[in-house]
Amino acid sequence: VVQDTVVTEGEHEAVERVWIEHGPRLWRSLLAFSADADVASDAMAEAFAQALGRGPEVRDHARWIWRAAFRIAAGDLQNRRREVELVHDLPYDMPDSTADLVRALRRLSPNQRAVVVLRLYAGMPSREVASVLGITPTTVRVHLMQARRRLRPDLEEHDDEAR
Amino acid sequence: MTRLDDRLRGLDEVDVPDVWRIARDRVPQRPHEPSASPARRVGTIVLALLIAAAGLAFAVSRLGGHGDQSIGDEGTTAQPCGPDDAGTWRTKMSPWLTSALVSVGGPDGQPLTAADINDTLSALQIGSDHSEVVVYVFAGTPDLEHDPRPSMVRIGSIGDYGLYSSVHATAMQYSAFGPETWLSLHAYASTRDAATRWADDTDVHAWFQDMIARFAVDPMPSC
Repeated sequence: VVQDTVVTEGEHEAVERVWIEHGPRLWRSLLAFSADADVASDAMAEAFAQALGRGPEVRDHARWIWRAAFRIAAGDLQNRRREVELVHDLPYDMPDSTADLVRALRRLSPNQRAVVVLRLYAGMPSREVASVLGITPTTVRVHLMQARRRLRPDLEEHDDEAR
Repeated sequence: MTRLDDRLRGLDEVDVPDVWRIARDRVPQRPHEPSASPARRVGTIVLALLIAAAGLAFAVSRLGGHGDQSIGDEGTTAQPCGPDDAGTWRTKMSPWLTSALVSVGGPDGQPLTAADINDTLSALQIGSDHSEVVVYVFAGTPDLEHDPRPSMVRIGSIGDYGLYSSVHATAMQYSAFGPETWLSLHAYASTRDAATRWADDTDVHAWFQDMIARFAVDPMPSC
């Protein structure tokens, strides 16, 4: 039996609500995660498009879209082999300290980077970050600890320059 | 030191493009995939079970000759301080598998399971449903690109035996096994005051693509 997915108006509105409530924060999180506006936009558009296309298959739209967007972005980065590239020019207006931090994030593993962004920028509690990334809350805390440790020299260097 | 979250707040000043329009435009072009029929679902389950059985058989064969500890054996013979607990486990993390299970005996005598959490995140978790002892190892290509020394992480909480579990992850080039991805793991229990350390003593090359998985649980160093 072949059944096409039928997306009702209510489901469309539910996805649109996620866009209104989460869209800007999600896109900026993806930008910080990928340091690439194209990756951020593509991952986000694809996640929302899939959510729209799946209709009733998706129950918790917000969680599903966050998770899908980060997975797509991670896969995209891997495909483009940009993991080890350092981005020197971020074509968006943001404070220098933030741009420096986004560059520094590139030196983290994808896991650590995602945890830093979701936990510290998106403001998600560890349990929610774990849900988005498909890991346990304990793993989230460990990634955060490791990320802080690896970022510490960058942050201290920035502080020295700012003085 | 400037707080990380304070610096990330600067992202709020970045303008967000109209991605919603792009997303809506993509939807009509997306062909609907037919739902899996019940027969297809059953077939998938059977196939998954066969793969799991093959993996288990592989792991059991690898365990041969390593004492009397056996995989997936409820109430294994592992003891908190037993010198005969040492064993080596190897698991192949095939690129198309999003999870792989390896059951080993935990220090509490209950089976431990290791699972690749998902296909985009290269973390390996070993834990027991029956114990507070949970250990994790972070190894894999993305981490190794940035840090060729996988970390030994001590995360375990105090369990029934008042011990922490530790994991010592190593990775090495091992071309004899072909192009599959392997993870290497050396796990053991340590005393509560053991410090988290790095796997400095391993010869790890960041450029390799193949890794061997070696799971070993050493006898506990002290009781």
